[in-house]
Amino acid sequence: MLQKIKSFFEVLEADSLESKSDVLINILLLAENEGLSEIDNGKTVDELKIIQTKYCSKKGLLPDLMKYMGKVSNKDKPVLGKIIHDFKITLENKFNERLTALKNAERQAKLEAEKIDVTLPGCNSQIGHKHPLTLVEEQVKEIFTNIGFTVVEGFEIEEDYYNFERLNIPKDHPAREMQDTFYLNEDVVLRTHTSPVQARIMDMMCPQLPVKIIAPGKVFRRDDDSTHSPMFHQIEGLMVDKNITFADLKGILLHLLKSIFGEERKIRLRPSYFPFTEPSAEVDVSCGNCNQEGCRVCGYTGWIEILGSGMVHPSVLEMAGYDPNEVTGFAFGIGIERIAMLKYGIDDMRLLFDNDLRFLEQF
Amino acid sequence: MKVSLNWLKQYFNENLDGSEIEIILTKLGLEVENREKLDQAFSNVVVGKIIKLEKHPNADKLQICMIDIGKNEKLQIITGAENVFVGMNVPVALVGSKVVGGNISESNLRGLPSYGMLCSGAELAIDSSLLSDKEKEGILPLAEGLELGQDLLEVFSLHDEVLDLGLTPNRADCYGMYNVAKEIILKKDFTLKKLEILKGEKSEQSFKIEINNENLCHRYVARKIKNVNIKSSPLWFSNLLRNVGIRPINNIVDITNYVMFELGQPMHAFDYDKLEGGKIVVDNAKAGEIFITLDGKERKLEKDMLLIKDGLKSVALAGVMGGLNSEVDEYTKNILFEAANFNSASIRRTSRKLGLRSEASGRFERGLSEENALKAMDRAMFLVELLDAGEVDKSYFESYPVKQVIPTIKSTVKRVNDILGMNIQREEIVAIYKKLNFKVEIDGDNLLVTPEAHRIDVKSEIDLVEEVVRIYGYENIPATLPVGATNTIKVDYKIKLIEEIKTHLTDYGLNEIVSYSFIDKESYKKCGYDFSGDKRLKVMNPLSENQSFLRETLLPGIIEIASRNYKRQRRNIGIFEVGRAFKGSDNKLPEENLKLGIFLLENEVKEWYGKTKNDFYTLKGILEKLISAISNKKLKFLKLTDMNTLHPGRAASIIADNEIIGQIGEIHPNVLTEYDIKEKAFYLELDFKSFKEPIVKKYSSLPKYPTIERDMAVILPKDLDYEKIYDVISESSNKMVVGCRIFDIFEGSQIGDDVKSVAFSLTYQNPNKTMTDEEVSEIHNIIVNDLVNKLGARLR
Ligand SMILES: [Zn+2]
Repeated sequence: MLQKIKSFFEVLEADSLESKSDVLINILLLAENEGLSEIDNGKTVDELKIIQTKYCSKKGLLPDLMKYMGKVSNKDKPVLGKIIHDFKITLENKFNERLTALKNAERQAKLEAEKIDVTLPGCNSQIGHKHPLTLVEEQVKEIFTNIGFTVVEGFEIEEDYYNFERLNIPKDHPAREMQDTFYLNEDVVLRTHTSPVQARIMDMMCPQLPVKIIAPGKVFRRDDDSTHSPMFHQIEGLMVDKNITFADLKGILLHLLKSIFGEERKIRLRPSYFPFTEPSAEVDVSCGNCNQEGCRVCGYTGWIEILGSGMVHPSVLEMAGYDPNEVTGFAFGIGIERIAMLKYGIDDMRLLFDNDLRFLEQF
Repeated sequence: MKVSLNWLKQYFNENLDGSEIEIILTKLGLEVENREKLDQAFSNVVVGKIIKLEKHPNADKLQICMIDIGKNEKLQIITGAENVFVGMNVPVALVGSKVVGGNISESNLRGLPSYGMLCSGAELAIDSSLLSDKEKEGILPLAEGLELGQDLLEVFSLHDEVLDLGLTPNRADCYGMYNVAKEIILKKDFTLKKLEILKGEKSEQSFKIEINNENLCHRYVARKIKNVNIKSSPLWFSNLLRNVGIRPINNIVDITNYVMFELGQPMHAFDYDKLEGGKIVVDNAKAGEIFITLDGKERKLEKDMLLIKDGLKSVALAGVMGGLNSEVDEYTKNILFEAANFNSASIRRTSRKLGLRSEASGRFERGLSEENALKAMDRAMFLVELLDAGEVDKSYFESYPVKQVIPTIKSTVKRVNDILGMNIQREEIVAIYKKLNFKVEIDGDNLLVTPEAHRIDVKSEIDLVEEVVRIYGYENIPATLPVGATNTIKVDYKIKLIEEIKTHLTDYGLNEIVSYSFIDKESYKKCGYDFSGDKRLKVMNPLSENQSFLRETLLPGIIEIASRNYKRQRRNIGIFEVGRAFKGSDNKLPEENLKLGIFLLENEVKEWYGKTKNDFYTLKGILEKLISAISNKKLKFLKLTDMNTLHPGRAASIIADNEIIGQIGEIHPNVLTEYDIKEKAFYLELDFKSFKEPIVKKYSSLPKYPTIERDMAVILPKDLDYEKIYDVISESSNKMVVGCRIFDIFEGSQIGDDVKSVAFSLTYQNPNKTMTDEEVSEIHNIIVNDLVNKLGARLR
């Protein structure tokens, strides 16, 4: 190739390059084709670099060509310049194109080689689970804090005075039989309900208004069978203010139960009796396990009793220092176990206290 | 309280529907716990008479009975029962009938055909408490004179429904079925029949009643029956009793039971001729007095127990049980009936102390209207005549020292509506009181309301509000939401803390458990705690010994649950509980301390990415993560070697702000053995007593100058704690070391016994300028020198 170019210039007369340029271009075209095919055959970036050296380095074809610049006339210089430039651009473009392609291919090959089995399980991905009783408690707390109630807690071991007397249940009151009580000593009991919190919080707040609290916690009764546990959980609710009505209680309870169970569940209030509320209402939710056909969960009644409630009894308000003629209130106690069982379709209360991890991990 | 529909029907002309009654009573607050149709247990059982008995030729224990079942029909039935005799009326289950235990078909017994079966009480689903000893023996003997062939469901009036009411303490009046009938007319436009009674004249002659303790006995009414004719009650009468669960005994006893179930008033019948001294005295027992009750048992009495005495001796334990010495028996000629009003608390205490609880004492315990006593007596006298049980004396004897005060309650329509959040009109409210048979007087804005005598639960205005809404219907109350001022009660930080702890720990892969707050004494010992019983909090009346102590630590509950899961082949056990533990204190109430317990099983497993297992440091890592997530506390750890609960070489007290806040360690192998856990396990318990809402941290400006890392490897005595090394580094570095990370700990014979090689990477940084290599080297060398001089280190 170089020989051909050399011969061409040897016979070239002055100022005649323009007319003979076709010949030079043809020679270069051959060189170009040769170069291009060499580039195409370059298999790796490294091989390509060698080819690039051959054409473009100081010892390569292009600098060689440039040497003839001095040998042509001034008039022909731009002609030769253009021919060399075109030749160079063509080769350079080809180089770059091929280089990019090779680099991509190499990266692709590397990535391909690095592939992993994405279906293998992740490392240490195990997550723990809150106890279903906690989940229900947290849900109920959220429902009430969203409407301005404050969460408080009382003592799990209470004075007889707060557990009973302040709730209108003096000694010898027949209602004491409704709740079989664990005693630590004559004056101290394991609280049988969360209701003593009512008296405690009203003592703290009186005469301020409103009192608007819920109080979750453990309670204890001497009962142990498939539907009773000697320890279980309640959430007490209390709202005391001017102009609180029984209709308000119903509204709050509807809000609560529909928030938990959804609009489709039916709710029933029926008259009941608690010494510390009057009028009192027992609240039932339709059984979701059997669609009210009757089943073990609902004792074949279609209804499940889940909370007791009522208007705070005037004497309970009075004992706390509020004037029952000025101030009214409502209170309720929710059984967390019952709600958890209903919500998750748990058919045996004992599962909640057995703590089988296979059970707990379902929540 | 059982309520029979047949019984209730006596009070109305209208017919009653069981399911409707159930709905009505439920709406009124009388909870119906169960409703049962009594005619479902058997069918096709008829009355038959045994007319011939022969021994079975092929079996010693069988007899061939020829049974007349009326209409000239006779059946051969083979029985194995021994109490059969010719002339006996028996229940005959015909071929094709159903009894308890199955359907009856024609059968062949040892070569002879049998066309049916003679039934025992149990086969007819009659509760054994309703049968006398004689009736329990074998085949149920039926009364003489029954029409042969009659369906037994009819004989026993079993086409009946029984509602079991779960009565609340305020509605003890509904332990009388007539008062239940009064409830029904509140919702149903029925006419309630008046009870037929036989009034007497009050007499003070010939017989005296003395009440010596007016607090415990407000009223005592007695009436005499002459020439009593003691026999079985007619079937219609005993059937009513049986259907509500009372065993018929004889006409006199049945009458007292009937009145008790009708009006809620317990009564008692004395054999008049066994009473001496011509009077009845109501008085306290003498301390230690021995009294033999009807059941033949000797009872040792206490001073606060109330007795009925005659002129000479004690004859009944008031309201609880009669005495053997005045019992009515087959020779009784004359009877003295008692209807009294005893103090409910006293009866409760007495029956509780003596372990004697009955339908009667149960009713007294819940409280009764004084007015009820005479009414019940008059009703009983009517029944005596109706059942032809004897001659009722014209007069009755009475002492009534404490008259029932029936309150007149002032109420306003506004107050009722204010509490209910409704707008019920005055006429409607008045109408409700009238339905209740309460007297109403209108005085301007006030309504003056006087309840019926038996409604002793209605004492104040709020009770009237309850009556109004109960009858108006809870389903008719609107649902509104309260409006009012903003709540100002602050949330306790600990409550938020509990939620946060649970969220973090479950994020770390642990599962939450809930265990009982009371534990077994044994479990303290099993867990390696020194048990001294007198210091522990013990429940006076536990359900069982293994639930008798209040937990002072969460470990026994948690490890028990871990062990239970371990026994189910579970190995991946990482569990925690947040809850209160208790501790005796000098205050009235014990201390309640919020605690966290975490249990982690070693659980060595091969995963595809390598082997994993939990150890002390896994648990410590969890602790450190948790504490920095929930507080600003800096933890320190102090070796704990004297515990039987934790491994003496692998346990520490957790310290924050110079206070011990818990323990962490490997569980002592002895403890794990007690719980059948055969691999290592780790436990920590934290007490949150000292935790306070963390102070909000102020931002500190970011360091402007780069950090430089340098590694160091030193050989140190084997027992030297990391903490000591760290202390030297922090002291020597003049605060230029901002990080220290151990990346290798090596022990081995190459470096010598009793030593270990520790390699760490130190991060240097000067807050005020970029450190040069020389500056770093200078401090690095100081640290090395100090490690050498203070801790006996040598460089590797
Ligand atoms: Zn159901």
